[in-house]
Amino acid sequence: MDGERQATNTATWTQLLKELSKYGVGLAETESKSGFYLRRAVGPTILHFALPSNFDPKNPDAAGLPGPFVIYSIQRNLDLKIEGWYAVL
Amino acid sequence: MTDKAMSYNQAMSKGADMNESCQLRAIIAPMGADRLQAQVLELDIAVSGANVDELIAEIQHAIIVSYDVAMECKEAPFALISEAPASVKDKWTPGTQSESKGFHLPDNVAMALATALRKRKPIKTIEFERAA
Repeated sequence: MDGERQATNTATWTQLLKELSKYGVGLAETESKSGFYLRRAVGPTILHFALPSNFDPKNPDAAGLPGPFVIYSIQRNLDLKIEGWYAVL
Repeated sequence: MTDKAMSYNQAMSKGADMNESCQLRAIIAPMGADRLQAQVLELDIAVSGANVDELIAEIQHAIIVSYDVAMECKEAPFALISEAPASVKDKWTPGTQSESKGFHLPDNVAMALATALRKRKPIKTIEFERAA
């Protein structure tokens, strides 16, 4: 990642989280402990994307690969368009 | 006209789905040799998993987490989640190799989702179609 252009639209969760952090995206857990989610504040609004049920912040890649559908959906839900990286449908 | 009849007419005029067989739809596509990914059409929720049952569990999980996040932010559940984009929705061909599965959410989440999607009844099934 790190600015290089991706030839494919696959990435590990670790790579994805590192890239998203550049856009102010953080990890959070619901107060009810129902799960983790990606969180981006846009003004007073909190945009979010729910992470897999087996997501572990200490070992993100154990959740398996996110896949293109997830990567596209993250960008749409968090209102991001990562230039030179993944197409946004 | 009675109040009940007026409410019915008002709901219909606002586009409420009066069909009682409420369900979600999702497009499935392979991801590598041994995993699947799914994109829900009515909400922009995408998940991956080893099989269809895992996809269903992950979609249910994502919906519950989204509900909880909205509750914590004191916002209407699912208000900030759009539908899937048209480029994905266009892949859906009704009746083509689709598979219907049971879908379970806690009652409060199911009712909030039905309200957000303008359905009269909580969603009990999800229909999958494999992308061409």
